[in-house]
Amino acid sequence: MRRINLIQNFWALSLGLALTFATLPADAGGGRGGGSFGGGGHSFGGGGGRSFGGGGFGRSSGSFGGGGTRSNGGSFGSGSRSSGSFGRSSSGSTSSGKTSSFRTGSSPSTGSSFGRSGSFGSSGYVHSTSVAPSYYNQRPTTVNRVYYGGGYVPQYYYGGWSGYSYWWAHPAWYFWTPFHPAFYYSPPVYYNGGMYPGGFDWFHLMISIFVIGFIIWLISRLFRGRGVRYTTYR
Amino acid sequence: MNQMVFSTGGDWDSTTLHNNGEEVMADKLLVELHAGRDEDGNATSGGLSRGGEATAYILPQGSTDQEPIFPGNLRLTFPNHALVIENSSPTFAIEMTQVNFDGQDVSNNVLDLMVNIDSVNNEVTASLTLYKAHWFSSDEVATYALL
Repeated sequence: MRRINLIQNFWALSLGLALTFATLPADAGGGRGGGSFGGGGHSFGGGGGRSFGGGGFGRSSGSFGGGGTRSNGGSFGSGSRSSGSFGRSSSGSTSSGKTSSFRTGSSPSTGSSFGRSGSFGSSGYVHSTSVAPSYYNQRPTTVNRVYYGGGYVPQYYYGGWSGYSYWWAHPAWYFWTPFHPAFYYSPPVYYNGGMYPGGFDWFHLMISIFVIGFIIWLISRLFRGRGVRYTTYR
Repeated sequence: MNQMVFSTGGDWDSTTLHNNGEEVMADKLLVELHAGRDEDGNATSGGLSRGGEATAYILPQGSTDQEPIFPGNLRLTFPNHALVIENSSPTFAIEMTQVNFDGQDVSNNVLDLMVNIDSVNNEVTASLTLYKAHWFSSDEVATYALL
């Protein structure tokens, strides 16, 4: 019977911890999900699908090659949006006449194959600030160089656990739990051409005390003896 | 309203009872109180707020008529403990009872109180039982021997 109670307590504890973590934000890891370029199902190029040939005898006579003034058969980079249709030109043709081409016609001179400029993707929780961070006037113990904002910038370390602040540049879900040191530090800040660690997060410390206290209380409630103790005092 | 003071040093010679400043010669003092039980009669937290039952009277010397103590105030002083029981309700509603034990309000912790000072039969009993809820360990039913 005692063994059954222990198993029940274990599952109850597991459920409690699962519920605790389930309340954490699902995108806490920084939202690095790979976005797709362009929208789904967009078609490019022309869909002319014109048919040629005359139809004097009850059927059309789509022709291959040969003379005439056929348009191009859907080439890349062509200025023409027309495309030739192969096969018969009767109505209900299985030929769709569509062609695939990337951005025909004029395109902005951005140097990008996709006609856009600027950066994309997540840079974690690093943010720029116009206010000097708390570590700004202190002497760093180590200086690294890190790629940020299109170039390499100095990244200053000040010893202790402050380096865990930089972990927020590549966040993971468990940084949001009191069991990881990064939880207790704010994300790094970019200021005046350099990267500085965020300060100690006292609010997160209080949250941690509350959460860990609750877990200890929960465990003690689960594993404490049932019933009451009878005591006598004089 | 009665203002009773019972005091004892642990023997009959030092045991006195006063009411409104005057000594009362009595054969018996009885205070019996039971509270803090759930529907099944098991001890639980809540004390007097959960209701209960109580009996409290004195038997004057040479008399068979019980004189009720409440509504009023009864202060009991034992060699190692002090207890104050107060109920101002004219109908002696038990939920209105206040129990103070060694300077601490235990009204919501009381399970049992038994004070029986019977000089005729030479019987002396005084005990208080409290329900103590604990955060991290099993709840406790603590009995204090007042004498």
